[in-house]
Amino acid sequence: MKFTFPPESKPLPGFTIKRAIHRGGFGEVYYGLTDAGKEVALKLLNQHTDVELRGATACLNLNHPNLVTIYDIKSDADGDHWIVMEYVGGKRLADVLEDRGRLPVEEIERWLDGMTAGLSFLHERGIVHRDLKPSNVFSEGGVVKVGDVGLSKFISESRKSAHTQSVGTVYYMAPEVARGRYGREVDVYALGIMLYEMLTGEVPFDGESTGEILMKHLSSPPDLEKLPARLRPVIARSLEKDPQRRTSTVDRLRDEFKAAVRGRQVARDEPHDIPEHAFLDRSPPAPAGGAGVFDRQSYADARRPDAVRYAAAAHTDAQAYAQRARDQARWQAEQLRRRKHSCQSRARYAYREANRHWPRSRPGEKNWTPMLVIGAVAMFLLFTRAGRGMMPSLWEGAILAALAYGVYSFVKWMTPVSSPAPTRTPHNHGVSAPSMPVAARAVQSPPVAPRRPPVPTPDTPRKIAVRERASQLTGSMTVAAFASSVITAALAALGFVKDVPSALLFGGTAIFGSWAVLSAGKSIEGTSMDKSIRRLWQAAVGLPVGAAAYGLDQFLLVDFHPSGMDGRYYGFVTDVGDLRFASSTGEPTLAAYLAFFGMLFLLRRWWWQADAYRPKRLKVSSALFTALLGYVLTAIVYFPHAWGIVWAVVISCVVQLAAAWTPPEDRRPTEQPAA
Amino acid sequence: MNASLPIETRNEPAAPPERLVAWVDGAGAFLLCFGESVSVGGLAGRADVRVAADLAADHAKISRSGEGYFVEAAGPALVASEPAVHAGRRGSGRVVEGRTDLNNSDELLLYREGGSGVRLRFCRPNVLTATATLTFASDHRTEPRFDTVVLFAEACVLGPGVDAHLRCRHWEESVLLYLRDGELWAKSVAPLALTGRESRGPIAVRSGDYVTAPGISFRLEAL
Repeated sequence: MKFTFPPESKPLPGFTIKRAIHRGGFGEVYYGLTDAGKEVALKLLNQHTDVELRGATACLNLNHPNLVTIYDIKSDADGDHWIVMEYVGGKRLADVLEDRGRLPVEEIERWLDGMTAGLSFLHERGIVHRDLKPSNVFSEGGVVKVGDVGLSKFISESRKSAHTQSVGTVYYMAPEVARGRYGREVDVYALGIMLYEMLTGEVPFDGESTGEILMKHLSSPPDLEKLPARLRPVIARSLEKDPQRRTSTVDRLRDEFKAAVRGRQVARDEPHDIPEHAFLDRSPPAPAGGAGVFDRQSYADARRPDAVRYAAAAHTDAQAYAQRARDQARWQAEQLRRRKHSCQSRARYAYREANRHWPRSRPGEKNWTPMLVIGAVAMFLLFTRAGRGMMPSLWEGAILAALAYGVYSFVKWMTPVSSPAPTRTPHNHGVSAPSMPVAARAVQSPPVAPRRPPVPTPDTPRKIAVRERASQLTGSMTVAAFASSVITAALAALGFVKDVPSALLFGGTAIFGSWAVLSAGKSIEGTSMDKSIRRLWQAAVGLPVGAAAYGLDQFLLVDFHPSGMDGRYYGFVTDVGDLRFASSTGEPTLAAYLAFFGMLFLLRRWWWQADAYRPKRLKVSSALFTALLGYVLTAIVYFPHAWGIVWAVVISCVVQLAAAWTPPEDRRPTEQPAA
Repeated sequence: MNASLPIETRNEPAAPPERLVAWVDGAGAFLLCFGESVSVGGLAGRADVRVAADLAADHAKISRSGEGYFVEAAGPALVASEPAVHAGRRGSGRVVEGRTDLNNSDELLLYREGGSGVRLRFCRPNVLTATATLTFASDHRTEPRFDTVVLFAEACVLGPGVDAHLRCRHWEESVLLYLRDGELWAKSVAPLALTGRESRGPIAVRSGDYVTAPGISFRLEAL
């Protein structure tokens, strides 16, 4: 992160920059001191100046204890604009969430009270914040302050804006922002998202791209199952897609939240619009005569009269839910129709349609990748001439996959599980706003569940001691040799490998191959090596495997044709220049072995199968993809195709079974760059 | 032509002052204390670390003894271990009487009767050095404002990892500050530049230096 002004700069008379704080979409923010020593935040506007200046000017004379105060707007000698603001040195809510994950309800209420007071003050003056998010909320000296009010925009001119791309942060962005609407409901929505995040430790709408997240805001219901049952209706109302149906004010959201926490009912002057699908699917079966909308068990458990009344009210409301659900569906259909016919939104619709059919691997979502692969292979086999010839190898591959799964449970217990590197326990302080000077005042609060940071992956850099690497590699290689032997014996027992030389060639190559992958992977595990370099490194260890396999082949004089597996060749590349892949007797040459194993190791991300931080211990889709790669390679390079496929899938399975694996919950937390 | 001289050839070696402030862009302000002990007190006194709180002028003194640390207090003080803090039983900590040992992740409570007290977290994030840090666990601040107080022993790590004394989360590489022959030096895998002049190896740093590297920038200032 590079900043324009170094410390001790004085771009404005009377102010000295001490350090940079951060750089955001609207400019750079510095920590500075006035000549008298007062701390200020100096915001240099280098983009969107008109928007920011207009917003800052509107808020220049607003003073509220829960809002970060804007002191002045100044211009420097170069004509750049600066906003001089109150400096709040306390922790941001974003930092608190990053450090602690979920927060206790009492602490959530403290944040909520502060944010609500500040936002309500703005809304009463016709101003919408529009960029409410945890990194804009601070707490210092027990006072919660909402910052970046300079982004605020007048409600009266909020219907359309030419600056929508700069407004808000996508995780907290209300659906109507995409249509240029910035009513106060936008802040209610963002507050609802933040409440959800404080309660669960994660945002309700997440994704791997901005477009995916925006689409979820527009069309996906939030997963309310993670919330306490009583709070589900409150959060559901605050996250309504239709701003007209959303909780009307931030004050109301705060009141409903507190009432739900305490088991009371808030006087409701409008129908509640709870998406029926958000509850119906997950509620226990309704008793006879009951509507079965709310979580009955939690209401039954609530013994206070208020809670009983609330539950009764819920029952009364239940009959209206079906109608509301229909309304909701109609509204969503209408939104979809509008999006379809909107020129601006057409691309978004197309993206959503494409995204809907894109392979997913997120928890709880259907993973279509293996099915797509299988489908593609099946189509190839059924409708191509070459495919029909290769049909038997598919069965062999399927049987091998089943075999790998069979030995999986047996091998699992003896596979070395990488013990997590010693990490410091996060300082989870489950005490809210402590008053703690003497023992008598010590208060025991419920423990806070640690926030679940992004799960580290094989691409996450980390330090691994040489001894630990060596230890894990030794264990993995032992298991790999064992697993390869077991699979080879099983293949022999099933008749797929008919003679001893074939079994030795197959098993020996599987062992060499898996050892090569494990060694290569372990040597670079945890490093930030470039992916292309990793692949070259893999290819470099793949070539000796090919050479070793060729050496075994020559030593054992294996004849592929009667070996049990289909020994035919389909690769159309039989030579490259003077390099011949087929010998005069039709057997694969050293070049063929090197080409096959070199490319097999080059083209696959093997380190994702060997790394202790891989997503699963054994991922069938990885083995299937590897088999597919073997299939494609043997369809190109002159090499016994069934052997190539089976070697690929066996090495993949053995590597995954043998490689050390750290369960996600034991992994070292990812270091998140500061926002 | 001093500007063209390699940084390593700067003569007039300068020992670091007792206290230096590291202004780290994007991370915070950190007070580096090079003495064997650091005093903590209220604003009225002349303690090394002055806290805007109702404390005695020299409320407590934290000292290093070999590889360990201990605290002595002139005012009421408790030391709570990490498990006690985690369980919300800070009040059950050890009363500071005479020399009381401080261990990694202990929480030091300085207070006066009837006050809410100042909670300081004592950490030794890196086992390779005796350097320790003090951060506020309560809503208090120092004057001038520092995010972390570093009790500098031999070396101090600034970087993105959990083993860094000064967490600079957005950095991609770490910087090691260390004492050599009474001078403060900095080195990193990243190519460090001192006030714009790039160096290929460790550089001696002193008050007023602005150290930069790709994604890294901080300034040292004597207090």
